[in-house]
Amino acid sequence: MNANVKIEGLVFDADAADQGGRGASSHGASGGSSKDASDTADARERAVSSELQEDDLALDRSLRPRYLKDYLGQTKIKESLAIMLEAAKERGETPDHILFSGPPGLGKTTLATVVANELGTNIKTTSGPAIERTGDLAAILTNLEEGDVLFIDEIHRLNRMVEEVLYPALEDYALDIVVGKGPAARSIRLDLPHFTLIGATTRTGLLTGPLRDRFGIVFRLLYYTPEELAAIVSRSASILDVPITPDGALEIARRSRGTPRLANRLLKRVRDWAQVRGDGTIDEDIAAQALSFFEVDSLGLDAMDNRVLQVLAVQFGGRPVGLTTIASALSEDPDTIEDVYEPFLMQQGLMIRTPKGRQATRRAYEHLGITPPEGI
Amino acid sequence: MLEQDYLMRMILVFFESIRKSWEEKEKEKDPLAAADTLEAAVGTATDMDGDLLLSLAPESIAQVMQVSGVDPRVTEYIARGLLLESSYLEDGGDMQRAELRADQARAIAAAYGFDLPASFSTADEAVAGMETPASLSEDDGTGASSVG
Repeated sequence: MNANVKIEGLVFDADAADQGGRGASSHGASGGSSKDASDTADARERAVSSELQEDDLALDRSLRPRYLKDYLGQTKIKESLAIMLEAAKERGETPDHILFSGPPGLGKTTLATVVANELGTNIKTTSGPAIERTGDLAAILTNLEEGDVLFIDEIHRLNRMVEEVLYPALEDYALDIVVGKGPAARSIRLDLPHFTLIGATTRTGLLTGPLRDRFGIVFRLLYYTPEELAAIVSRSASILDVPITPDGALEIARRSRGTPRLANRLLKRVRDWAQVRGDGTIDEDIAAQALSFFEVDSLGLDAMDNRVLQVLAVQFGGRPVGLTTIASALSEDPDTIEDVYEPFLMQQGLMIRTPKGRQATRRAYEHLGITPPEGI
Repeated sequence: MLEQDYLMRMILVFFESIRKSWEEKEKEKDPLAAADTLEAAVGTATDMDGDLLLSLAPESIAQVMQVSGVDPRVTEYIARGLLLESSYLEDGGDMQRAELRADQARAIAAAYGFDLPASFSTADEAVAGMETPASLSEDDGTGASSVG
């Protein structure tokens, strides 16, 4: 049995679920700050952004693996999940609540649907900012069926009042409702069906301790290796009926920042290139040409990433530079520099943050083909 | 005596809300405001968070009412109010909420063992056969018996 996704009220299509809470119903998915919104908007324009983009939706639907055996990468997590799910099925119980954390695009939503498929149950999907009122959560909880999976994306953005309602639901499968007011107030307890909550977060640190403690198991998704991503690209190409060589898949994988969502998006771009400029087959050369054309270089950096490095290495001669100075030099918002561009550059060892400011590393100079100044 | 006062108060609340909602729907041509009026009455009549109560699944709302000991006569008013609200919501184009309210009304009726028609087309139909402020205050003859 596949995971049947129910669309009702705040619950929306799992295929359309994303890290940004888009797709929620009219009850509102607008819990994010304006900063979140602007970051997302900035990221949306980039080919190498790992945030979900409109183009990804149709692609996601066809490419998402449905069972653990089809899921590539995250081997340790898959093994743990397989044992956990098998044990729960044998005991005839619902599995513990699960938290998936990690950067966007690594497969948290996909893993949630995989869990539901493996259990042969329904999955109801919503997101933290979409659940604005306690009544919203009560509606979702009372509409669950025995054994269902409830997936809450961006669970760190749940408001505290809603979280309080969630605690007894997670621990005792019960919903407490207050009847009466003042001295006459009393609480009645409504039994809920046993269910498994799967939470997904890109910001584990923002989860409150009490909520985090109620998850039986927490999985941290890691960036994929180029080899794992190459296998994902090859599988996706096979589903899309695109001829691709192993070297072609690896070239796309190397430039995908360790993120399957990005790898699949780049595959689509390269497919178009191969169709128009080549014979339709994606090999290493075609992939390299296409990705260079789309300004995604050998490390997966786009034009803006490279401009940041140029500013540090060339414009300021390798000296430490403050964030606002970089932002001014690039005519960009400091928050965008800090949240969108910096993390990957630092992760790749191309930039460091010192007490005096940001500085390009030796690797950045090598990448730009510039001789580093003395002392770097 | 206290129980009778409580019952009188709740029936007055609902009777008045149904009358007001019908005016909003018919005279002000605002069926969604009419629906909101009835929803507010549910919270008052049950002494609960109306938003929370009305967000529950149909079987759950019936269960909560049974556990919390809402008077069966008030409960029937609530069910009829929800069914009437459902017709307002249909008029207002909110079909999903209309369906939920109708299901909630039927679940309450099933739990308490009374019948409901498929729908109400007027406010008078919604209170037909029910205890009214008039029937509860026959002594002073001040109560109304029609909401239309």
